[in-house]
Amino acid sequence: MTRLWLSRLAHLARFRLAVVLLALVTLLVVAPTAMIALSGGDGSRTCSIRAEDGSYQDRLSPSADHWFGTDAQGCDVFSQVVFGARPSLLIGVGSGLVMAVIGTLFGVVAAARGGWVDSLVRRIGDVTLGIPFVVGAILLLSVLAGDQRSPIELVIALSLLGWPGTARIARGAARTVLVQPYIESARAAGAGTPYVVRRHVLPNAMPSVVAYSSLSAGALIAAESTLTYLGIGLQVPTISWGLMIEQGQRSYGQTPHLIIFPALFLTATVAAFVLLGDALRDSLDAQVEVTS
Amino acid sequence: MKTSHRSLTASAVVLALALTACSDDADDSTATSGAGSSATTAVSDATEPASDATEPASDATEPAGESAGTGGSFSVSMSEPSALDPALAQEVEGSQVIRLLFTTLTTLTPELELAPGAATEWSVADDGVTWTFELDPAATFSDGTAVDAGDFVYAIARSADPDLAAPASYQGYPISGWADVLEAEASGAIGDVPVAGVTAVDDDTLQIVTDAPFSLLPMLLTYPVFAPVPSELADDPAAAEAFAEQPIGNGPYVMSEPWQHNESITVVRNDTYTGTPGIAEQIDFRIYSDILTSYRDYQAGSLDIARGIPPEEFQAAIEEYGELVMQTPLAGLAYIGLPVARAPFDNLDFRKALSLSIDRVALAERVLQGANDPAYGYVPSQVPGASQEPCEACAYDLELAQEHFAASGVEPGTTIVLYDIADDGQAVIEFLTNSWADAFGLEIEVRSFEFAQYLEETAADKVEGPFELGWVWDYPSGYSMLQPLFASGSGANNLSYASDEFDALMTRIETSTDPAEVPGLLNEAEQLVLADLPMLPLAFGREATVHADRISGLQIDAGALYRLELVTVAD
Repeated sequence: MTRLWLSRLAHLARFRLAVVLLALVTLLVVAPTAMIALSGGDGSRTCSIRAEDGSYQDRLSPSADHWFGTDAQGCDVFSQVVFGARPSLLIGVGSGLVMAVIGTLFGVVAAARGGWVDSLVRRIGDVTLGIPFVVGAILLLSVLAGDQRSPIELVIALSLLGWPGTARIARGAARTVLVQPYIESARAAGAGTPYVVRRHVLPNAMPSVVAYSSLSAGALIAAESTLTYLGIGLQVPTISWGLMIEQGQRSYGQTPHLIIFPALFLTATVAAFVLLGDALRDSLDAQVEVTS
Repeated sequence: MKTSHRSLTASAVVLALALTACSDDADDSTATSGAGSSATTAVSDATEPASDATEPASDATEPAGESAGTGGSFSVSMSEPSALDPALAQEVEGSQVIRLLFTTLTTLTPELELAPGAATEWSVADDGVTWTFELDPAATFSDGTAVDAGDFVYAIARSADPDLAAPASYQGYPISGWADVLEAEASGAIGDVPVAGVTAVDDDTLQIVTDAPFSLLPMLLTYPVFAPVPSELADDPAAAEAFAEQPIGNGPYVMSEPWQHNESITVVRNDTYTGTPGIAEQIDFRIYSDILTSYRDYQAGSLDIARGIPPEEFQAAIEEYGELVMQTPLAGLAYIGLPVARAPFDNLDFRKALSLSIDRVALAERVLQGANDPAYGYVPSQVPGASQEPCEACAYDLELAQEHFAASGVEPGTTIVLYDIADDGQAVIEFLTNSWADAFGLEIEVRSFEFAQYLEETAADKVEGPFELGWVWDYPSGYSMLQPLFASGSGANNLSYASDEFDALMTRIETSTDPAEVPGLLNEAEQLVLADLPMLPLAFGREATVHADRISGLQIDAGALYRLELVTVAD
């Protein structure tokens, strides 16, 4: 098992693009932590509307002191953008993981049990996917969180809306495995369903689920920004790209840097996750073919 | 009785929003509001009217009387009003039109001095509660029928009627019998129960009796809720229905066609008006959903007066249009209310620390982008009696703030809840969060609500922390700023603030027979509250306007009311 995964990682390493992307994602995680360590404080905000000499320092254009300029509150846009990665990544990766767990569970159980369980899970999934995303998110967030919306509530809401996608992938992969002749042999040798699932189905279903989850992480980060932009996601004083874009667009004509930098980071991050997912799938699919 | 608006909005013109947003609540602060300069006079006139009350508001009406003379038409932007029926007036948009269509008993000059309107003179009897108003016998409604005392009796009964449920009906409480009508069961017919204190002595004499001496009554009566309505409406349901869309009034202008919802409202000069007539022949109100669109139309040359300039464009507008940009200081206060009955806000040192750590100049100049003035007290400083010195704890002094914070015993890291009105920009909330977190290491938990729910959440018995709100006076007096906000038991006092001393001062003002002492009493009251600091004043709004070159003579009062009847249009 361990060897199998190691070989897959090695295979993945051959995709140079994937390495670059993985590095980018890692950087986004590490950078804020490093900045906090360096600055000594909690580092969440470096805002002051006045400079030391009393002059205003809001809405400054990018300069050597402030690489990405400053926003309307005198906050340094560079550090805001870097810290803004945290909630986005937390939500993207967090809900990607939760979706993977819930989706795999339901998908594999549905495939393994078949019959009415399968139908039930699939119908629930279809209905969930039928809910328009933004409407569903508004509903869930107002029920779950009300006026207090932290990344946790967003993770829950996004996962609840997104798990059927993962479940479909997991179910499809599981079914492909379950009809294989070696499963029949295993059963004939006396293996029960739990054993078959644990030993054969899960390992074979995981690659697809992992690839899909990475793809969705990108989409989920974009979704977080969308919801925040619409005013139903994260809130001040949390720093988030969606919030920055929402505030920046109000004065796009005067201070374009307030929207360009967070938008660039958002786009780059989403693209990184999506491409990483693609790369993962290519690599893992190849492995799946080899092993099966 | 609440005049809460979302006036802390950072991005939207603080006041413009304040004024329109109040629709959720009763008040047309704006409509009647007035500017400071003349409030004293206004107050004094109130108690001793006859002398200068008789001279018409003509001095106000001398606009640029250049070549243009009278005539012409111009366009002005507005948002969709909530109503054009004067009894339902509650926000500044509708009031812009209603003030042209109707003339109240008493009116205000652009300088906000009290002036005759439908009543040519008035006086109060020695008992201090019986007021007599002499009406202009020649005045007519735009349909030709005479305006007589009976129309006022009907109009006031109508405004008080629970069937109509007028949003600003709280305005009439000083009048005897008003409460009985308003709080009775709805009867199904509008205006059928007369208000006991309002009687027609004869066709041209109206008598109004108040429960207790109320020296500010003539000022109060400038409010559109007390405008005359043709009493024929009572028996004619069809006319009553048409009235909502195209009111028949007694003012200097008349609607030439029914209200085109979300499009336009057109008024033309009323040539039978017996007061000072309007100057322009026609005024087109264009209805926009946001000020950016109207501003773009102005820039394209298709709109003459843009009410409101997007804050982001404000500096650029001043550079581009120079003197065509007008900035009018408004009597609208943006403030942070503190629940003083709740820890740690019951601690005066803590309240002072919060106040001293706010850089009000930066807030007004940068965060609110210039369409504001920093507030160092609760009453605009140009109002007679208003405190002229910045309040002791309203300066920006971080060292002193730290001393008070240390003295308060509140721990750094304490979490406080800060209420935010959703959808109106969060610049002020962010600014306060940064200020308080930086200065004291407080943890700020921001709670956002839509405006209607916001008012519920920040009600006195529910609110847990500082909340942003705005207040615009109902009529031009410091009394109308202070009494509703701080009197114990006032519906708009959600600070849980109660001071017997303050309440006693308010009563003294209400019953005062010497207008000269009122400013002093108001000052005393304001100082009293500022020392207790249950509310942190932040900024007074300014109305930002830009108009076309061919427009002259435009005046805007401190209640954001545009005096469009004074506008001259050059050809």
